[in-house]
Formats: sequence, C-alpha cells, structure tokens
Amino acid sequence: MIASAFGVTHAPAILAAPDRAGKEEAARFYAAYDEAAARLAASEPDAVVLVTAEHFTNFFHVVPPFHLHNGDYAEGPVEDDLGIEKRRVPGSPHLANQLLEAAADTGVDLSFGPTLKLDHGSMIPLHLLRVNFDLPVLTMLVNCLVEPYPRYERCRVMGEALKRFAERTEMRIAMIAAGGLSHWPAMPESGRISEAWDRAVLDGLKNGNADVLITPPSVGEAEKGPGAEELRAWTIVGTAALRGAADVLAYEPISGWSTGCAVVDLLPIHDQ
Amino acid sequence: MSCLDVQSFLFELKNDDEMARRFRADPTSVLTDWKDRLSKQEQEMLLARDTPGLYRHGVPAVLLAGAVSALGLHPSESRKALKASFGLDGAGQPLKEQR
Repeated sequence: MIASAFGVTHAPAILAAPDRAGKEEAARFYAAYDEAAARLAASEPDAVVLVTAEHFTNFFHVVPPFHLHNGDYAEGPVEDDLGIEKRRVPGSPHLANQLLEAAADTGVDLSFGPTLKLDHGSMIPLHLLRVNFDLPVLTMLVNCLVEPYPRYERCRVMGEALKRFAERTEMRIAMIAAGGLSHWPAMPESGRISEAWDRAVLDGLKNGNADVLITPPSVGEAEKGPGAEELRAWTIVGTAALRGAADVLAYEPISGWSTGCAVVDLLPIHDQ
Repeated sequence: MSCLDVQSFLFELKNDDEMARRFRADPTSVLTDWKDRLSKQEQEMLLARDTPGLYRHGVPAVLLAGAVSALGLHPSESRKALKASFGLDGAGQPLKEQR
C-alpha cells in the first residue's frame, strides 16, 4: 500500500547555495521540507520509491525514457558541494523486480540495472526528507532532459504501474517525486521562474485535479523553462497516489536557487 | 568531429575521477588521447575552460554544469561567466548598462 507520497523540488542550490535565497523564503521552504519529513516518518514506510530526473549522471550514449535501479545499493551524491556525505543508499533487487513485473503487467516497459549513481536530484530529497537508510530505496529515473521526452500520457501509465506495484505488496511504500517546477537548469537564463505556471500546477493539485499532471497548464508556459519538464516525475507519483486534494506545504519562487520551489504532500493523512 | 564528441568527452570527464584528475594536472596530455575526435577549436575551448564557448557550440547546459568541477572550475564562477557572456544577470534578466 501507499503509505505517503510527496512532490518536491531538488535544485542543487537548495543545499549548495543557501545564501542565494532570501532568509525568510528559505526558512519557509526548509520548514516545509521538515514537515514533509515528519509526515513521511509518521507514515511508517517499509520502503521508499523515488522518482526523479536524470542529469547526464548515468546516461548519455543511451537515454532510456524510464529506468529503475534494481541493485543492492546506489551511491551518491556525485557532487562535492551539496554538504551531503557520500554514502551507499540501499536498494532492493527483490522489490525492484516486483515493480518491474507490475510495470510489465501494466503494459509499460522500462530499462533496469544494478548500478546507479545518485546526484542532487535524488540525494537532496532523501536528505531533506530524512529518509531512514535502513529502508530500501527504489530509484526510478525519468528522461526529462533529452528530447523526445516520454509523453505525459506515458508517464501516467507508468504511474498506474507504480500504483499496481503498491497494491500488490504488503509493504508500506513511501513515494517521492523529485523535480521541477519552472526553471532553466544551468542555462544563462537560470533564475527565471514562471510563477504563473508553477501556481497553476499547484492550484490544480490543491483542487485534487490530477489532470494538471497529464496536461500541464498553458498559462506562463513561455517562461517555464526546460526544467519544468521534470514535472513528469510528479505525473508518475501523482497518478499512483493522488486521491483528492494535495496539501501544498510551501511554494517559494526563489530566483537565487533558479527554481520555483515546492513541497507538496500528495496524499494528506485525511485521504489515506 | 562534431559537438557530440565534445559532449562524449565531457560525460567521460565528469564520470571518471582519474581522467578528471589528469585533466586538471595536464589537460594537454588528456586531450592528446582525443585529438582525432576533437577539432582544434574544440580542444582550445576545453584547454581554456571556455564554458560559454562550449555552450554556444551546442553542449547541453546540464552536462556542462556537471563537468565544470572536473574541468577545474568553481561552479559559481562558471555560472557567472556563462550568464555574463549572454548579458544576463543572476536572475536571468538582461544586465543593466553600466554608466
């Protein structure tokens, strides 16, 4: 079963450059991550599924639309400037293969492999959500970086597969979607944020409208930047977990961190 | 020779600690191994750590950002140089003219 589910932002500067944000907006954002961490712990998960974006950390010559780590452990962060100690993050080949089977039964295929490097896209959410590393973490990467991207409809089907996996297992699964919102990752334009687009996505989630993750809003689209393509991670987890109104714990358009920064509880306790 | 080879070089550099160490110590020797795949101009951009030039050449920004430390650059300095080269400030907006 799904124990809890969260959508979060994972921009490197959240940890690498905290001073580039205003003190108050940063405090509100970190407090929201703290609240999400408390809720995740309270949900007493047996395992964690993390859906995040690839950043040329593992793939370049071949780019899978979806990839699942099914090894004993992954390692990260690859970056030196996040202030997170490099470590092994446990995986679970057995559980990962159950997810792969559920995906195959749902009609969606993904690549898989036993080795994986974790970058900020994984390690910042795991660190700030204080994930207990006694638990296995299944990491799924989504191509949000190299066109053609998997279509949102395909991500919805992957979410259905994730839901099927969670329904089949006796274990309590915490799910994390990591990526977005609007940003221009590492580009000269970085720092631009489409607050209108971000708020349209979050308002949709607050209203329990999962369609906003399948057909992202057109408002503010021109300024949302290519980093907004990482919403696909939210589409997958949201499809699996959303049952009603999400709880937006924070939204801060932090230009210094180059990202519209959000922490969202996609399965608030009243919906479980 | 194509930008794809530059990207391959940077991907290998960022994922191979020994290659990155060698590049920071003696970039010319590392580039010698790639001389058949990289044009003279591309080698010069890598030697000069010319990240704005590499970006204009077609290297994806995320790949470039992941490789700057391996190139021997500080990420924030590289970020500033890239933005300045395009006349943009930290918020990604046009720089105001200096009087």
